[in-house]
Amino acid sequence: MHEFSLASALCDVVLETARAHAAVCVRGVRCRVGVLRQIVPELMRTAFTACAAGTLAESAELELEIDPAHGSCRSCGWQQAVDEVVVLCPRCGSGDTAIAGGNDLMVMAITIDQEADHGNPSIAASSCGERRHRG
Amino acid sequence: MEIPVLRQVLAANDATADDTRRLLAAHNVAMINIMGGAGCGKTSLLERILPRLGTRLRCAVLEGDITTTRDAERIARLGVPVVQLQTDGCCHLDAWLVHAGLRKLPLDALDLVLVENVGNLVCPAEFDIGEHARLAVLSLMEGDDKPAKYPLLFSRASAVAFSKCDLAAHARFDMALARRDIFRVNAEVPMIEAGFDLPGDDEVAVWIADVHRQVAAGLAVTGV
Repeated sequence: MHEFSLASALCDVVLETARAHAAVCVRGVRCRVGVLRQIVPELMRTAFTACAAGTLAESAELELEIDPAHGSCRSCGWQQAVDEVVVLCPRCGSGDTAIAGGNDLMVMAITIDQEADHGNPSIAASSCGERRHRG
Repeated sequence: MEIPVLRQVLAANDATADDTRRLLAAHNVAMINIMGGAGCGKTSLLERILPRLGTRLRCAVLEGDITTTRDAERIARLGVPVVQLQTDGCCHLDAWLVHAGLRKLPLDALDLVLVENVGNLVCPAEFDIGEHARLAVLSLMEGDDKPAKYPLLFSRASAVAFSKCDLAAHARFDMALARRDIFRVNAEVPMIEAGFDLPGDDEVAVWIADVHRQVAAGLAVTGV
């Protein structure tokens, strides 16, 4: 259950970025998560919702995209997508292996409304705008 | 509108951890992050190791706990400078808390800082606190399945100490299985069997002193 700790750090990055862009509401967050980080997506979303409660990001939808990991062996040429750390080559047993990718925990983008957006009545009627003073 | 961010979630923590490493380098101090589950024997291990290290190195301890100063009181009884870091509910130490703790220590009069992280096999492994090396502690009482179930901590360890090995006769702990599961995620990591009156305690002290030697010589610490 490290998701809460990570969601808290994620929320900090989102809110800092949102404020820097004069956001009044964060609609969405796109986050790239490495398969080796042992993050359970459902737990991460629940934790993010809890951390974002009462902030500009409280109604934001968290989209998680996968950062895949690729294992390879320099001894026998084995190559395969992996979802855990591989030290010994599963084909030849050599320890001369490498893993690329799979460790990202990166905020790719956030979708926000800015003050100007609220001049548009269709957006101004949204719930987030009413709560912006709490962020 | 979509704003591109492209920032690692833990970037702010990692930047502070880098500041900490610069602070330590300026004072020629090495720092080791000791991690393991609650009750695995981290504080007891420190109580046994510090007198062994104290003859050669000037040590201090940062004690991470959710609340209370009990661990710090145990360390203070040894005459070792100690700062209690209270996380107020948080299950791990982060770079800011450790940096603030270091500022309270007389760094010019130290060679080594040992940080005891909050008892937890999961979150502490995620957070760089500016350490030079990481010691994972696993007691036999926790079970031989823990390296397989919590691989991140063991995959990032610079050394693993099995603790409470003096109670091995009472623990149904398959040491070969635990060692194999750690080897699978961290092939080069030294593994030490420690416990009251066991030679492993000396090996842990030797490993810690060796980390200090490597850091003082400006070398990258083996296995990190």
